[in-house]
Amino acid sequence: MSEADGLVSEPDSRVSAADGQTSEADGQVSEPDNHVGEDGEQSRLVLSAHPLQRVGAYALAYLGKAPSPERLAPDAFEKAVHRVTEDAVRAALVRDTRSDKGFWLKSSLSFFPNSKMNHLSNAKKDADTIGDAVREWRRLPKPQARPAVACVLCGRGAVGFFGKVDVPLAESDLYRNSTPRGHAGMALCRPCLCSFHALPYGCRLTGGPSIALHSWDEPFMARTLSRRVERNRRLIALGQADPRGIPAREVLALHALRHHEDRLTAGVELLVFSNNNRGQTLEIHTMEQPVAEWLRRSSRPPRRRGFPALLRAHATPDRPGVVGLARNAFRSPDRIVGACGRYLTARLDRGVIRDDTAELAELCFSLTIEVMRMNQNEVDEIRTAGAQVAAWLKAENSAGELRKLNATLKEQKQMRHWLMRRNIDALLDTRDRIKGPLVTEEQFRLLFDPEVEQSWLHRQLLVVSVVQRLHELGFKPGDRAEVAAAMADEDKEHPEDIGYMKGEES
Amino acid sequence: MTAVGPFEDEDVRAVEALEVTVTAPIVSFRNPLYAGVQVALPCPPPATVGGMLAAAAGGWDAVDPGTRFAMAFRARGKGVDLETYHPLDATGRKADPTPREREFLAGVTLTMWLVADAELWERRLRRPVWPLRLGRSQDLVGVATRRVMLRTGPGRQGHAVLPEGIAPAPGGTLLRLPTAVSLDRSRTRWDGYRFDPSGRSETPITGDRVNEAGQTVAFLPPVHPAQLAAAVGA
Ligand SMILES: [Zn+2]
Repeated sequence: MSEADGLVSEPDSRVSAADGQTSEADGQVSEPDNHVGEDGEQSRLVLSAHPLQRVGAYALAYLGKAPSPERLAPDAFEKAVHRVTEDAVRAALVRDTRSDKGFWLKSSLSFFPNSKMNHLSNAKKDADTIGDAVREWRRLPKPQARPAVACVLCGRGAVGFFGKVDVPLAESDLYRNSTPRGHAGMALCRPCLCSFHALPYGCRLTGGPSIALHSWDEPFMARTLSRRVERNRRLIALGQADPRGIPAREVLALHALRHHEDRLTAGVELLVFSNNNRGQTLEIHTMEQPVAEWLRRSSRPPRRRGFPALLRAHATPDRPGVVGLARNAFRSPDRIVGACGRYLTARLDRGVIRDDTAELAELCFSLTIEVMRMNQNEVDEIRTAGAQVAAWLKAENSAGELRKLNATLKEQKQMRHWLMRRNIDALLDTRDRIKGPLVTEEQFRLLFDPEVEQSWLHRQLLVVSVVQRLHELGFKPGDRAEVAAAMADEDKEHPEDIGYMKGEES
Repeated sequence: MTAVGPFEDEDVRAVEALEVTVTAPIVSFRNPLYAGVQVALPCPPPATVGGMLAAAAGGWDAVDPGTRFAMAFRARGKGVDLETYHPLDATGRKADPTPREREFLAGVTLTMWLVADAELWERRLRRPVWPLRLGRSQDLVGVATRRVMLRTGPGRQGHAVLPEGIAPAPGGTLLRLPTAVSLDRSRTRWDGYRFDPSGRSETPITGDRVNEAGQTVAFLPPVHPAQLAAAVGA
């Protein structure tokens, strides 16, 4: 506690460093010795374990035109920090969050509430006073004003203690249960602090809660953040909101994956947060690496042929497929299999096999192996059973039998009964149209044994296999053409899904 | 970053280890990165488990700085409840108690393996100096120990908490967890870990050891605060 006590005796240490106040109309960094004298340590970014610090560090790196935070040279770091500060000054001078150019100021309320940038009293202050106050807030404290403690994130020398005004989701300095009065809590070095100041550049800004995309995959961070910062720089310069509106938050992750060219080595986290005075909030949604990598590959060449079908399978009349797909990917990837199954079987009752069946079925099988980690032998068994059932249906060439199979999908007892009946029929069939049983004992076990953990998934996959094989066999019962014609316009694509396939961010 | 096992010289033999099973009805492991909101971790950070061992020993001074353990963790369920937070107002005025959401894990079992000083730890865990708690549990935990044999070879990932860097990469989520916290709590060492809360991953994992049930046993970096002090000095 000794360091903390030292701070209390000098509660305004950060403000007292302001004595060298010079009017910085040109905004030059006034105290270069502060960092050069320490081997540039206070001007070098380090990536920490804190996702939001990392997002901010990447944003600063991009503002300083470096490929990664570690490669941002001290000079470029200073320039980037300067730019962040001057953007804050410009926003503060707007004074009114409801004005045309007030979006960036409004956003600051959910990052830096009660800061010099958005203080209520700014409305009555002149430009120089506001500008000086904002620059002072962001200035590096002099060495003598710094506490002799380590940065809690990176372990280098801290330049002060910081709370909610600078660091989203830190404890408010109004409520300090573990430190003395006036103590803002979090010891930070300047590069880590500046990372938090640059955090908004790396987020999707909505005016309300912000959305940050984070991953431990560094190349993914570099690319995703560079696009985000590029866009935000323009919006921040204009002070205006993104004219494209606010997409479903999960979709941001899908767009980032679609643009990423390399194999992902880690999953993707979506942090939806607000540091607003009315209540700090944080939601963390995690998409695991296997499903993230599967989505990335599936929406890019050479695999992307089935992707439009995957989007259609997740679309509802009032929601684009990309939203449903993104939500399933974050919450429950196994539901993607269910959505594909439902889509492929949606018209079986009318004897119709969709034209995009082959592509979607292949995506579905790749998902079960790459994401659901289903055993390849088991997948093969299920596919064999599906092919046998399809062969039997083709031989019957009856839309009626297909309808009967379709009717069993929701009730596993009925499906089991249907399969057992047809198994016997096929065995007794003297015309010998099918070789061997429809479904072997082992396959029955995989499909219906309560001891088999993923038997429901196996049943979904059986249906997908049957439909896929029927598609290959050109299964077209008599009335198919007219039914298909009647339903041709049911598959209208959502504009957002078409945009996704073109690579536009919604 | 692959953990180096303590057995290089005796890889061919099975070793005896102390297997510690810790159970608790409700626990909550907070992510310390976010002070103003409660964010829970899906498994205990190694630093927290280390703290429990130190409590058993009577403090970190009594713990060998090189102490390492392996661990597996499972929870039967999770949920969110409200806890009352009593803020101390920095201005000295009385502040109102505020409800805060708290995520919790229910019906948890932590399994740990210790090889060095197995007998000493067995004694300490049977008669701990300080009460044993895990996370922010309001209740004390149940502890059982037994001697087991650990062999070399790959094992099932199951509910193991694994150090990052094991190749090929195990399933589950990559987490950054506190490994060690300095005595004054000002510094935290963070490392990457892999954990699959479902325990479903059947991928064979080549950890340091495997127990009789086929569970892989991978030793984590040392959790003693002295490790951290050394790192800062370096
Ligand atoms: Zn730092």
